[in-house]
Amino acid sequence: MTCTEFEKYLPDLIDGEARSENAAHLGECAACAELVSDLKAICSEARNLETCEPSPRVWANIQRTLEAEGLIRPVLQPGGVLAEPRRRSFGAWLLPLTALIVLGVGALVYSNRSAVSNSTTSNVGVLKPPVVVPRASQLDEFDDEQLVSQVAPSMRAAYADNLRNVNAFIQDAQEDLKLNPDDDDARHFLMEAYEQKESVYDLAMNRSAQ
Amino acid sequence: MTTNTAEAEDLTQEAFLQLFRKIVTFRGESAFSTWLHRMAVNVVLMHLRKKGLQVVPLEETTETEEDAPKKDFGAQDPALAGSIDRIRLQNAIASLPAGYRTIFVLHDVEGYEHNEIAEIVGCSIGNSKSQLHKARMKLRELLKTSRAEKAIQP
Repeated sequence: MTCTEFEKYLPDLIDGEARSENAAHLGECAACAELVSDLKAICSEARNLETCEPSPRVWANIQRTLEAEGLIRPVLQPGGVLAEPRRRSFGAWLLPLTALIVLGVGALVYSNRSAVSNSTTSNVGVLKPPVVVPRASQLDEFDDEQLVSQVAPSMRAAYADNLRNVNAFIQDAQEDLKLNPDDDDARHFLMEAYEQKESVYDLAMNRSAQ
Repeated sequence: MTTNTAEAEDLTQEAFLQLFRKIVTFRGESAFSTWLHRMAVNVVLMHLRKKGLQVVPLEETTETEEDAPKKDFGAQDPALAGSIDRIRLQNAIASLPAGYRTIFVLHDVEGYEHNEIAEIVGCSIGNSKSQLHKARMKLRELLKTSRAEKAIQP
């Protein structure tokens, strides 16, 4: 068998289909033996290459577009109120909200009993739940640097980049909400930004656990 | 397929959006992953066409004399085994012609079989095997060249 003839069987040989005549040629030809060794090394290294994960921006844009096209419903927190990110205690905002509702109901009852027609309490029934907007540093249970150090070295730059982007998103959303505290869209974007950061953390922790 | 991360993310987004819009058209005649991959490949190919890049079907013999892997059976350089690092391999893959790169990534990186690749890309199984072999030979050549260049750098 010549080397040119041998090359015809190379693709199958690399993918694991051995033939006796090929083995014989490999035993006689150092060049072809080295070629086979090189190609197998390339395949082996290729299997270890990690594919990149898209940044959180991709998923946020997909969700936003699908909601705008009506293909999916907007995601609401339970009860339709703005809930805090899952990492924090769920109870932190319940007490002040409950207190406000009790006060509001009490004021309504008082105003009905007193029958004051020009009461200024007409607006007390319209309450917006308090928005607890934690500062970015309070949001982090993990230090971002500590998170990045936990992922594989080959992925650290990508995760650091994603965290920078999502922190910038959080900062923008916080500033927007500060300027427009009653704007539901601003609340929605802030929650989305927190969820994106949580996605980055979840992804990193799942990978480092593998 | 694009060698550009930002472009790849934009096209990933577009592929998923198309998936949602066209999910009702999935008839189950192929595996869902194959159907999704086919959609993604089509999104990329359409994008490349819009950019004015020539997209040549894999069935055609497209390689120039320069692109074709050299049929060099002579062992003039040391073997590659044990000296391939991830960065050099990624750079070499990015340097491959688009057709070679697609088949190589689908088979050797992502693990698809030739019958699946043929369905995803729209070529024959024989063509998929042929392109894969040429991709591997070209990568070998690129990696040896890259190692030789690195060796002579001060």
